[in-house]
Amino acid sequence: MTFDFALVLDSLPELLDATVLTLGLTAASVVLGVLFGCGLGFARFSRYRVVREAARYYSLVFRGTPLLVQLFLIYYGLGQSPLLRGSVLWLVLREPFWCVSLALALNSAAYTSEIFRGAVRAVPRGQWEAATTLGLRPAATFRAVIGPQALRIALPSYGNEVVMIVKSTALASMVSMFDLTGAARTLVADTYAPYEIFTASGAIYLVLTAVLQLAFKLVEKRLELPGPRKSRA
Amino acid sequence: MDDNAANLLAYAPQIGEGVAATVLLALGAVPPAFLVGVVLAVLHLSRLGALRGLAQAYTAVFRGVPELLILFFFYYGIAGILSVLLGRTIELPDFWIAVTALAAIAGAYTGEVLRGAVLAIPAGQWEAAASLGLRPFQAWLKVILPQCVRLALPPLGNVLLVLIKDTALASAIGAEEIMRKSGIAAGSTRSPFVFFGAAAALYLLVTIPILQWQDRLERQFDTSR
Repeated sequence: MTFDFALVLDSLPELLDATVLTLGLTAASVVLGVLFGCGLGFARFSRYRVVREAARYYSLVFRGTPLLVQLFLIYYGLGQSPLLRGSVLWLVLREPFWCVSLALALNSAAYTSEIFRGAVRAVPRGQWEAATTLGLRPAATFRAVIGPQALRIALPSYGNEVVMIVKSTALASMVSMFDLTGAARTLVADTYAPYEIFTASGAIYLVLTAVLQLAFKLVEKRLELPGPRKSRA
Repeated sequence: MDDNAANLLAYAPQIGEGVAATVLLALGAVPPAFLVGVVLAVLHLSRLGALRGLAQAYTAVFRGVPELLILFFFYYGIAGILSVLLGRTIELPDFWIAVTALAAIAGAYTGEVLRGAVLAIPAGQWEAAASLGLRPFQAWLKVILPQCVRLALPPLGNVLLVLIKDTALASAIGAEEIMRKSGIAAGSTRSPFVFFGAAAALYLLVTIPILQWQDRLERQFDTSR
């Protein structure tokens, strides 16, 4: 058993090719996930109890089931519905790319809504009261006072969530897509060199997640308020 | 709809076996994961930089690489590594490979939780214990550890939750758990929605209580409202 570096180099172009798909899935899931997640986050503060409870249960169900179940329900399950097959949505959902992205986005939305809710609640109540005293309406208060503060609180957790999404895109290989993990599996089947191929693809994932973590750190730094602080985690 | 009920009933014994395997996967992974976590926490808190670096490298890899890829690595690789180490051909059942991989992953998260819990105890607690005449070992056992348990329990609940959900990935390497069994049923009855829906419901039976326990704890500590 020797580690064949030449093989790693040989397989690198194919793995990097597949990384493009992994990044595409990540990007689509992050964008959709933020949209759904913020919607759900607002729903958690709705004045209507039904809306609040619906959003809470959504979050429970999506955080309580494996992503793989959610993906299979969407990928295999939705096609079962003749109603959907006849609709315009089918043009999108028959593509594995959009099935995976949708599953990842719906899943991530549950976590994002929790982060959103936690961050908004972490802004001291006095901020709302002060804004109201100044005559700001609720929407303006959120946009100008609460939102920016909540964003700073939410950013570190959301950075972790994005890293989770990158890792979760590996499930695309379960519905026969050639993302980084899918390509690695195929290469291993071809070369029977699991150590080299899986180590190389693992390293690519580590680089991806490290770069994302660094990017979030930089954004956090940029948004940080001046003055002495810390110990507020 | 009657068809679906009949199908579900027909495959119920199979799915039941899958549930048992899922439970065993999760339960089997808990003790080794805890062991890995304790070792990692000790290494993290070590005075020796090399040991700290070792723990950090382990944690970075097992938290930064997709769980599925780690499972595949173990599936294709671990028997080979063991064979070389032991000098004879080793074959491992898929189930135990899955348990090992899940434990290796959950162990990385457990180590972080335990490390965080120990570091969160104020230094004054050590000093107070020392000034009361407790030896370091006694201070550790009677003062620090009880407080650590309280701090670590909620995040450990989360590690368990993630572990339970990650068992679903073991289906990819042939473990005969819920996802694999319901996948087989979904394929042969051509009703994926029913069987994967049933699988989701089975996971929720276990995960919802954990999630609600966490919510309750969060409300207890929530001072903002």
